[in-house]
Amino acid sequence: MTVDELLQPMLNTTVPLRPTDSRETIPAWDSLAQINIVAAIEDAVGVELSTAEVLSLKSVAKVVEVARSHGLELTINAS
Amino acid sequence: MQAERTFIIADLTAFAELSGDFNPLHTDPVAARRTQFGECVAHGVFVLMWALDSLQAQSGSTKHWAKISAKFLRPVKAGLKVTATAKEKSASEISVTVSEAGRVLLQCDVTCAESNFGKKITSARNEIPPRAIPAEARIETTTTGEALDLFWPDKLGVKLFPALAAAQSPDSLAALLASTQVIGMKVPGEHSVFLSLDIAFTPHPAITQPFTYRVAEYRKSSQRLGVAIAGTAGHGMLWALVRPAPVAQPDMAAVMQRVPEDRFRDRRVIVIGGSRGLGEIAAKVLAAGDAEVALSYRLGGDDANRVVTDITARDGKATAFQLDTACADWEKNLAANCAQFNHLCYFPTPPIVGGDGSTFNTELFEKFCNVYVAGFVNVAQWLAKQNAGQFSVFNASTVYVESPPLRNLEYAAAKAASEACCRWLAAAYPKARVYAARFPRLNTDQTASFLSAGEHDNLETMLAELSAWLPT
Repeated sequence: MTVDELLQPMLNTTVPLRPTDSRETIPAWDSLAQINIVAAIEDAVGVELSTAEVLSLKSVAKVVEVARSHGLELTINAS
Repeated sequence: MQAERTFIIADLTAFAELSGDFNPLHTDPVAARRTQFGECVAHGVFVLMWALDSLQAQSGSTKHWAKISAKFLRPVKAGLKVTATAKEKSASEISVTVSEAGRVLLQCDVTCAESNFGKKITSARNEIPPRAIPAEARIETTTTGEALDLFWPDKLGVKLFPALAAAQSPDSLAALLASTQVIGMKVPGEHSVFLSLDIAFTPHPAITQPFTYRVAEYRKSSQRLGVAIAGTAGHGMLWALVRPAPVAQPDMAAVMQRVPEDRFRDRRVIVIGGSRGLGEIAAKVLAAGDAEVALSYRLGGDDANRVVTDITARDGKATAFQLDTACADWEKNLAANCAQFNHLCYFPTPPIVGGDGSTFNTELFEKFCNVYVAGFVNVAQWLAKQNAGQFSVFNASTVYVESPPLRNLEYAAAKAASEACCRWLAAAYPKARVYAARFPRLNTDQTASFLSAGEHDNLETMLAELSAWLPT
């Protein structure tokens, strides 16, 4: 799965996402979007994320890191 | 295929009657203003059923649903014009998206049954569901389900969703309606946000089974509740967010412990927007320091009375009055309630919603300016006139003026304009004391997040700013 497939619908963007993209650069990345991201990762990996992991999901790089730590590889399309 | 619609509150009330989901987030603008969305939003299932109805009417399809998976990604606020779009993924699969100006609000995949369900033995009652009060949040998981009557009131159902009523099984429609009633009224109940649903519909068996729901999972770290549903119509899983309750400010007992009892003695202060949030804390801090407070509210009369009761029960001096600075009678209201006052604290705000972060939203900026600029200057000048230019004004501004967040340029720009008004007032009325406080992000309904609270102490911050405004 790619980062764009997972995150673009939740973040209302069609632009390829970069690791540096975050709540500070993506307007739609609010706390509701963050919860939807948690749900998508948990659905994919089948385990509940910890509170620290949930609160940390504020950048593409962190989403990739947390997903990888649970065995889900997210590839980045951004050129 | 495409369809467009603007949901208004009357629509949401009609759907609440159909579904039995009278959660105040959808039907009560006064209660909804204290949620994270700041105003009424459409039921996710309403938006879903409207999209499916519109698209089914256009396609002329009479295929029964076998499965529906929907994600309610963003709120559909009352008054928002949305577009539903359908794409055929295969002969039996359709993908439906509801969006607003390119922003995806709802995503849904529908799988149609290979053949339509057989003889209709329906367990849904053809009547309006009884009206109830939403339950307090319940998060305990259970292994046994609670029964819920299914309703498909045909007359109202046909009126709202004619194509679905003609094509789909009443039990399938009733199960969809029950899903929103379960989330909005039962579990989590009052403080809920419906996030997603997956329902597999089954052909009617010879006998009916009661429709049940149970909390199957509670994900504490993200405050999500998984609710399993099952019955004759089908089975599935619903996910909802346990929404934080409105932010409660410190009560007078706590405030009085921190404020010297004569700190604001002999001050007579009008607190505009004093029924909740920062205005509520200001009113309490001033009253705890022995000021006489007249606090105004626009919609939240009950909230304002709660604040006044808290203050007066501890021998503080406070009254509440209704005021809308956008209404023609605002001067009359002020004169009737604040004739002898010479201090003003100004806190009112529209819902602090963000722009899209890339273009400047003039309409949003004007909405903020109507309150922060026009309303503020009008009330301050009224006070100046009443007191021959000898008066004192406190304006609630924000640190965002210095560094506007990506989504909140319009808000920060309007607050900056209100600070310019402060400087103008100070120049126009040399005997006046005009103070603009730049507040950090405090914990209020306006700043409440689904995941974390504000980082500052509301009471300590307010006491410091009011003390700087009115030095001893």
